[in-house]
Amino acid sequence: MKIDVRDLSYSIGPARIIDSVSMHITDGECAAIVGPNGSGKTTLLRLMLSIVKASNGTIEFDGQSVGAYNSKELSQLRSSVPQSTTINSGLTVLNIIELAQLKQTLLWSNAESKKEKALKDQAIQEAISITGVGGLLDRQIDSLSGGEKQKVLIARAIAQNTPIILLDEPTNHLDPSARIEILEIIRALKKTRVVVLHDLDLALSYADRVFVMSDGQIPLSGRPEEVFQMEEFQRIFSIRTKLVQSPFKEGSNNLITGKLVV
Amino acid sequence: MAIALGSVWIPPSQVLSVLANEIFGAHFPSSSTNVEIIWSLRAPRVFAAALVGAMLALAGTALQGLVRNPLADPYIIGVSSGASVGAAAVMVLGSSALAGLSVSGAAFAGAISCIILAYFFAQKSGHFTDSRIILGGVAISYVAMAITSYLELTANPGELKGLLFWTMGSVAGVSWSSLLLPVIVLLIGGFWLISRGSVLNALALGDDDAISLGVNVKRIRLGLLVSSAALTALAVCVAGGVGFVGLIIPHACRMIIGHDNRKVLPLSGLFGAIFLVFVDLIARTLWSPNEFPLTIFTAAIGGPFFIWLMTREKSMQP
Repeated sequence: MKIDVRDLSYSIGPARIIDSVSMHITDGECAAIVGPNGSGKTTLLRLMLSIVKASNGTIEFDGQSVGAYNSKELSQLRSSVPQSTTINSGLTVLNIIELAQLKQTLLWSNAESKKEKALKDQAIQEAISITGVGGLLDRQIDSLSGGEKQKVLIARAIAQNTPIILLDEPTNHLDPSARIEILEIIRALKKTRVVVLHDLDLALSYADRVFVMSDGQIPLSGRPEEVFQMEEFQRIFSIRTKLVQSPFKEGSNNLITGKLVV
Repeated sequence: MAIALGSVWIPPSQVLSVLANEIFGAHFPSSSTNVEIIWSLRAPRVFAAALVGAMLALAGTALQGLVRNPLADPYIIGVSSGASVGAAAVMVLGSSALAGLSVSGAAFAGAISCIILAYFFAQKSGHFTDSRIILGGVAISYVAMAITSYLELTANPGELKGLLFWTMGSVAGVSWSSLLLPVIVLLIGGFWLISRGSVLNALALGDDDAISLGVNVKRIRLGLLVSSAALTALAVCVAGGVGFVGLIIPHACRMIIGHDNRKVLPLSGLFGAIFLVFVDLIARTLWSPNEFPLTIFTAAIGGPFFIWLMTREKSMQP
């Protein structure tokens, strides 16, 4: 499912957090949003999730404005992987993954057919096996490590069975091997993915396209290996960058960053 | 069993006979004194205790989920303080001063006005926030407490004792007819809440997450507030300010079966009912034929029980 953001703005009081942003993400693409702290990445994601309402402009899923969907319909179109540090409750891993099918589990919705129920269970089972969290189901979410929590949240998003999945810094606070593991899972998903990423090298390896945010705008976008070498990119991040041939993988690059010399 | 016990012991078989006669129209032999004690005095109060316990525990669970604060209890939105003003006004000034309202009628009016005020103050740009509803409720509670204190100062000792008894809760002297509305509200509100267990789970993860899972957060928050306010207001009308149940029973349930609200909601309703029937039994038998107000025992029994649960939970987790 494609995502079209047109001339999107969002203000809090006089402050313009998102300033006339437009972006077009094609079906099945993995798009990374990168940018310095406070540039508006998370706010853009919250706008796409309809958590906050835009002051101006539109977001469309497959040509239909998100404002035209109700909350149930939206939950069948896009799922979210929030930052794992925000998840604190005594719920178990299974409780949390089951929330993916929330709208269908009201008490009197017994009218659903056995087939639907089986399909839902299947979505949950599949998500559990993709992310490998089967051994954690009875654990309390608070007792898990950062990487495990992140996998649970990804499992939940997968179980929601939506064509679009939006992820907010899924590799934050994770050790190097967990980062790679998480991004491998995300890469294998056959969905339209929008990932806010801090780690530029990971964006280079895993994103089809990057959108660079700066002061609420998106001045640069394109293939990561091109964008990351642009002068403007280096100015936005206040760093020097250099692409080098990966010592581990033929034909792929790593990003070396250094202090900007003026 | 709770009906059998009291200042006069009536054998359980007699109790069952009388109940069967009254409810199902059976014709078991029974003495008229027993019928009077059981059907007119004890059965309604045991039923009322169960009802109030279930209402407060359910409302407490819902409000703790709504404001995401483990210290929330049904009275946090100002319900009991508002009800106290109403009750105190009738007891001290006389019901003629309040357009002939009864104590419970005035308590209900006081409770409802406080909830509406708290909700109104909690609004910020069209929706209310967790902290504002607590702060609004607390502020209104203090104003209401000030009015109640003033009324207490002007009261004579007899009125004061009655008022104290009322603010600490009692189901003495309830009649069947006064329980009809609370039963209806418990059935509707309780069913609505219990069916929202999963939604409450989603809310526990935060508003942002709940929205992304498809919850209409604004609507569900209003529903939670209205249903728990209605449950609490009617519970207060029946039994006055029974403390502790709405705060501790939900936590006790979570310690026993975990945090899944699909289980916590029905279980806390059940536990609240059993707990308050038990407490009422002690309140009316310990110093028989005199009575204690309920809050003395909800706290005195509930507190140690809760601490025992806490230590048990600690020892279970390595």
